[in-house]
Amino acid sequence: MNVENIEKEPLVPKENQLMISSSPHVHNGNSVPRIMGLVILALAPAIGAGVYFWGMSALTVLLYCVIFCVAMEASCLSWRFAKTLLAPFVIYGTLCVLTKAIFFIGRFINMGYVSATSKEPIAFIDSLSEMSQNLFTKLFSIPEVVVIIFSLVMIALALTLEIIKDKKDRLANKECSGALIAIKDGSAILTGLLLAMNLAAGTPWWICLVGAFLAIVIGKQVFGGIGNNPFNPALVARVGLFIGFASYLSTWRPTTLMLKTSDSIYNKLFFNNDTVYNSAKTVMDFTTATPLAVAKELADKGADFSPLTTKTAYLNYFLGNMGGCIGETSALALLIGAVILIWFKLIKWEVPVYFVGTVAVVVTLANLFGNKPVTPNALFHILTGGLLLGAIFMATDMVTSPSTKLGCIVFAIGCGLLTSVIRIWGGYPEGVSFSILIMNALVPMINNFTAKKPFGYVNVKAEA
Amino acid sequence: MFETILFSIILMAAVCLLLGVLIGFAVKIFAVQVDPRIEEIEELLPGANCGGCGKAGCSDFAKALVAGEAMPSGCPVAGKALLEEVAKVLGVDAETGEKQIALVRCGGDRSSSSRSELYNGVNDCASAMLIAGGPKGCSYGCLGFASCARACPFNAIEMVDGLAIVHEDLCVGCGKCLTACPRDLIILRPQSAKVNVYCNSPAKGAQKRKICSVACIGCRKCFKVAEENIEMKGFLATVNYDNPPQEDIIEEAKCPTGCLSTTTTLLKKFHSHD
Amino acid sequence: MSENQGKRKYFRGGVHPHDGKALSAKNSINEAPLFDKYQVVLQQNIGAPPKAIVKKGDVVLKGQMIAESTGFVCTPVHAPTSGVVSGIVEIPGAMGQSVKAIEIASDGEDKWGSSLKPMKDWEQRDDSEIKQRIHDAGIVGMGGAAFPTHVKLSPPENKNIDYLILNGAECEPYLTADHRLMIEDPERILKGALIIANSLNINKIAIGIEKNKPDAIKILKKHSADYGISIVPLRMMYPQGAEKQLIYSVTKRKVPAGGLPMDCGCVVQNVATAAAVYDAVVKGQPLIERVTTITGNSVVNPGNWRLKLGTTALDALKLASGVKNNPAKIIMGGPMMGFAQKSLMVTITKNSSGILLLDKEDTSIYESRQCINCKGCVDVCPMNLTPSVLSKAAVKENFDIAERFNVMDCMECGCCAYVCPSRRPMVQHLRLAKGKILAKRRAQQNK
Repeated sequence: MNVENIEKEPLVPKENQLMISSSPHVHNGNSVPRIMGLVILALAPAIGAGVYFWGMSALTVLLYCVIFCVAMEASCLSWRFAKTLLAPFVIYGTLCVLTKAIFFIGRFINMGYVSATSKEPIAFIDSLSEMSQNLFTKLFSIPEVVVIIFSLVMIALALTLEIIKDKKDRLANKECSGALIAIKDGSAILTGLLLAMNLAAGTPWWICLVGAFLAIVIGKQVFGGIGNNPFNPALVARVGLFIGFASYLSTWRPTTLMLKTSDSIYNKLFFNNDTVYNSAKTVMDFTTATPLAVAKELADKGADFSPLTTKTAYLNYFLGNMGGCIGETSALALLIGAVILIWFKLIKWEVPVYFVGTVAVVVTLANLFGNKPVTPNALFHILTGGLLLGAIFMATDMVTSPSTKLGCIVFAIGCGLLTSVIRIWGGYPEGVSFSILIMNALVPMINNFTAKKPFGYVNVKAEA
Repeated sequence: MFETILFSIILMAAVCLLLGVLIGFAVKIFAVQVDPRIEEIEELLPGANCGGCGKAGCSDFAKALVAGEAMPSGCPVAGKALLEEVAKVLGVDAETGEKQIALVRCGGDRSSSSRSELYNGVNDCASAMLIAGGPKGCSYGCLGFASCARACPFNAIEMVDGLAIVHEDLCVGCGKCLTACPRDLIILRPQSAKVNVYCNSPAKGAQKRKICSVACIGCRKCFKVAEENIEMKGFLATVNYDNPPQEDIIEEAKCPTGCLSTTTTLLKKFHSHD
Repeated sequence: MSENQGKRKYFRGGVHPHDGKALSAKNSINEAPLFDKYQVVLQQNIGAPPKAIVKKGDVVLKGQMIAESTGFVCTPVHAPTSGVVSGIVEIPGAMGQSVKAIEIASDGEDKWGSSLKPMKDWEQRDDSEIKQRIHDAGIVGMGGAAFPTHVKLSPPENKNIDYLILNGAECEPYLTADHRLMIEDPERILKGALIIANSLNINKIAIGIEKNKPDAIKILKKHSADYGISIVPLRMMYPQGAEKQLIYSVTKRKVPAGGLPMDCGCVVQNVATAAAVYDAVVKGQPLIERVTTITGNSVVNPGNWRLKLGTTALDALKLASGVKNNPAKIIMGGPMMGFAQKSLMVTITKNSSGILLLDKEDTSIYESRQCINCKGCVDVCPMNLTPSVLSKAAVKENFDIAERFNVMDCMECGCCAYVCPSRRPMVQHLRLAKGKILAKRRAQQNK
């Protein structure tokens, strides 16, 4: 150190460069993108299981859902993004309508002309309307693949434009685009993944698009975006689709493993037609039933549930080798996800435990009081259907669950009760999504009744 | 095809007609008797529901007027002509006074007053006051977080470079902004008093000068020119609104910082920056 | 001591911020040189403001009273050094508002002139005499709140006080003033504690210290054996030093919500206050200086200094050889509850435990994004509130809902904003709500 430096007047900060803000002045570094990222990490095993069991048909559904959800979210938050994205489709739509309209008007004029003058129709108008009709047919019959690829390219283009604009804004110290913030916080990606987890493998792309619209626009953005939605967006979409497109939503594909293990009694339960089964090559060739649907059928017939509850069957349920949504079948993968979530303190262990526990208790009780079992045993109910997915990833959704621990427990028990009631006595084989949505609606009330007492709270009435 | 469309249209029209007739009868049969004057007055009133009269909106005020619980002059928004009309409906005297409008007693925008630009927190004046007394160097001046502008039901307050300015032609004097300002900077003044002192800091002149170039430094120049129109409160000159000065006082007084001014001048000055 | 053995020494909630104490924990307390002028803030206590009894041009001596108290909840102020009063000026206070201060131009002689006589025989003196002395010496809580100590020591007749707790937790990150004081002056603290306990006629005394100060625990344990004072090592956790949490950790008693420590038989004093009480009673010194930590990653020489009241932050910073790189924030107090300053002319007062300069990387930037209801704040709130609900209510100006969800029990410890993933300025929201509710209650009372 040289002498000059020591003798210099010590540096002090300049007053106009001091930042002022409220205490605390430090932060633990937690952020919304981190939370979303960790939840996606926890979802990874279940996604992996889904892709393993259904291959490409599951992967495409996952990709469609994520991309469409992100595009929907970005369109809602940035008009520029929406414009870029929608422009070609608006042009396309207008062209279609225009060509058809020209065709009709031409025909109409000529018809009027013919009936009025009883001469030959005007050749010029006739050919014009003919051309329009041809153009319309060509436009309308663009192959599906082209449309998909085109929309994906458009989404990518809109995103790139957004990023370029964002960089410019940042240099100019302006507020950056809402769309990018939304994509960066990862909530749309998570919603997309959860939506895909709730759909069957091989769901057509346009169902995914409608689902993304229901989840992001109807389920989330109309309420004010992230943090304000009363209902779980993925479940809103699932229930909306389930009611609107019931056949698509209950078309289940067997897993690749199910095809290989050919002649077990277990498999026969799920396939209606043996000949189809024997001639089928890939999972997309035919459909199967979920264990819960089979159970419901057996219960309606008053039959015995024993084929559903063999040791092999349980092993298959646990690993996920059965019909169902992409994300809900593998109990093992979901449990790994639960461990990750609890490890990072993203969810409280009470919620899944109370949810699943309530279902187990109600199912056991329902079977106890009665001459013969009305439904398979509790373990069957836990391992099949969307119970674990719902209990671990849906009922624990931060935004739509109560604020306090006690509230969360009440919420979980309510979910469990409704689920088991719908499963055992309801019209649908599955009730997890309905029960969670119903309980979502009750959250403000639960919050009110389970308000916390402050530290050292003394009940005034008790004292007086 | 055509028949279907035609049938649908006719059916719809028939249903509409039927329902319309039903509703028409229902209105006649179940009509509730109200004093027709209430409706009449409500239509006359401004209808902005600002609450300046102390009632829950214009229709409440109209009810109170008809019931004799309020006087037409209770509405601060209505002009003289309107009040007379209302009074005519009620059959009472109008008792109109001078119209009051709001005044933000600060002229320090970003360029003329010191201000910590690195405030990080809630964009709201009352909240900003909690953090180191607000980012503004002056602890009496306008904070510029637009709490008053948001409170104004008539959009009469414009935010210019971190300073709230009341537009004289838009302000109706409902007084909503008075309570929104955490620094009690806004007052009501008669509309005819065009000349105002755009400073509210009672601090010492030298101290004010250090942080603001448009503050009143207490030089008493204006006071010497027009003693009956200006009052001196320590280091702060204020306009005597019982006897407000005319606009030529600005010329005569030669205010060294220009804080004795009119809103029109201020707006002109700030908009010339752009 | 046996009463507390085996119980968990912590409370529910709380956070673990990076403590940063290593910067200055090893640096012993330095004496500050005499500066040219001191600006002693007039009101340095919660309660009524004292009245200045000197005017411009008066010659004052070190320790002479320059402002007298005007009520019960009020303390006098004394001259930090000898010199001439150069006027009563307005300077920025620690909270940002401008405050009145008495400016004293130092004459460089530092001549002593206190009217207080040492009381070596304090054990024989009357309780009221000791309390009067504590008042006369202008002693207030030096941990942060600046509540006059004599008021705390004069509980109403119907309250039965049986426990004195000294607060040596110093849970605020970065600050080490109390830590150094405990290491260097254990005798003053312990004797001060005895004086306080004596004036209250109680014999149960405990000193709560966080476990991250093992050297202080060791030294105090060695000395405390002679006095019958128990040392309670506490779990490292913020806000361990908050009054209600400290009482709970040490005694497992809960202060009733909205109540005071005396409602559960406890009195809590900061260790620095205890040392000041010793000085006032035994040596006859009024409170005119205190140990302050000047620290932060951008300070050249972080450390602890014994500063006279009225030293400006600018002078104090120069003592620490200034700053290295441009700090983003200067904070009076710790990073969790301290106040960000917009001026360096703010002065050291009786409750300034530290001056902290934070780098841009260390500083939290508030973004005020939507609450995603992650419940992080609910888990860490040591007062068992639901800050997320309160903050949302405050933003929507639904202050009635905030009141119903007990916002008034919030102590602004900042745990909620510390963990908030959406970076909402929760403390600011809650402070606004508290202010509005208080104003409403006052208006109702006046009606």
